[in-house]
Amino acid sequence: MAICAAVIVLASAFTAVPTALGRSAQPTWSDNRTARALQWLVLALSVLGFALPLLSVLVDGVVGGFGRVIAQPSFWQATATSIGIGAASAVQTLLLALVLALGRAAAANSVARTLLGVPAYAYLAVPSVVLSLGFFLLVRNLGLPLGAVSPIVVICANSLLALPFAMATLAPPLDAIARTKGKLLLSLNMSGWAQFARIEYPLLGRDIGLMLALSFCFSLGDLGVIALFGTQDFQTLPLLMYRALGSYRNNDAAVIAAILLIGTIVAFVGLPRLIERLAHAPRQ
Amino acid sequence: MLRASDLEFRYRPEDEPYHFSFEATAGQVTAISGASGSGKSTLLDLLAGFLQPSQGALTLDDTNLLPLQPEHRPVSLLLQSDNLFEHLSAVGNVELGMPRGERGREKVDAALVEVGLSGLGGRPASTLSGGQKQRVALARTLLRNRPVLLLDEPFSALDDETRGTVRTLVGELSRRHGWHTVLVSHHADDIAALASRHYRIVDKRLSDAA
Repeated sequence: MAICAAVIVLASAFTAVPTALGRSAQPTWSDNRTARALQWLVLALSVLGFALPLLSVLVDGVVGGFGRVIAQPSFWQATATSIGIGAASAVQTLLLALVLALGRAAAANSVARTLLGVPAYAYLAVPSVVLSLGFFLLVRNLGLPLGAVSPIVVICANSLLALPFAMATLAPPLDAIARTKGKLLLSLNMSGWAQFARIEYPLLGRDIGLMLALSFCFSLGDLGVIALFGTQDFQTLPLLMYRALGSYRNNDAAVIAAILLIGTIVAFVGLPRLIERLAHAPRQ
Repeated sequence: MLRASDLEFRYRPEDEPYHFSFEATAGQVTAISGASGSGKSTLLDLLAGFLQPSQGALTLDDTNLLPLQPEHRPVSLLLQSDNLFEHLSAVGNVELGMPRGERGREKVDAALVEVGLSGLGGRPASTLSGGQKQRVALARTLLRNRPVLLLDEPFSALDDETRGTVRTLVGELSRRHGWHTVLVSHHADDIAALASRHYRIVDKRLSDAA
């Protein structure tokens, strides 16, 4: 990571990059040889750093014996829990992000705009284990039955941790709509659900899909929150993987990791396209 | 009659205030001109309710418009650009002019015919030319049926030929529907071709250009 960062800094010194906000024009200059070499180096390092561990997961997972793992009832239980929590968490993140981002976009007062961003971006600075522990202590101090509230807490915690990324995805396009169409929308007396359904949702279909995929995958891969709330009856795929590793069943862990990887790829490729298609579907 | 009487507005307390007084008659186009930054768009924002004056009066046939929020003002807007939602069809854009909950394809089609766009209703707005987009926005204005039409440099982005056609259409629609049309423009030919009355903003005040 440090090497990558160092190379990026060096490469950026050799070639000018347009930094104006908004749509930038294509550069009219050509990169010199040093810049091109550094670009390829950065690309190669990034691909290697990204691809090698993932490739290891896939290879070990494939040869690790899918059949044995998927024959275990605990695997299917964990898969169902992971998908359920991921889906609920993604929907909750979407709702929270939309409320905050729409509120920010519509706010005329700059202080209100800033304040509406605080709840979302604050979670960037909070480690997931700290938030999880906070929820754990809260549940204990309130005397709530841990088994019953665990799924809700995990959904909430995952949702909050994904919120900054959801805001970063949805807030800029919503701001742009408010800036360019705000007066028109106001004069047409459009607001609330009617405005969202006819204007924002179709325009943001792909962004919403991307945000849902991001949040879903965030939750699908979470170990920090579930580590505190998981039990033998309530476990997700990452917890199952962690427990397999802990009992020296490395092959099982590799299979679960490979399945998680495939799941995230499918979600990332499929959800944005699906939501975009739904958003642009003809409506009566 | 749309009447503004000494509408006063300033963006910051330390600014010299704008003072706007004018009258716009039904069925006629009233033009407002002035240099860039003179306050033409500020005036339209005051009329549309996006800005609130610190004092003065704004009435339409003796109805006080100042307490009304933008969405409740009897006003339609036609801007230089960004009048349409590009992901919607022409029909979808025109439908936005209908009162909430009301539907009626016949009315939409009739409005499109009136602005000379029959047969183009199904086209996505993103595929329409600049002149066609302005016509679609005018068709939406027809459905909104508000007595005041505010035009903010609506012909600036059009080529000369289209500009003349759309300009004529605006004049005809204003007469036919009895709109109090307020045209903000810095193009003398637009004003000469359309306006029955012409005000100019000089030193933050409106004065009768005639």
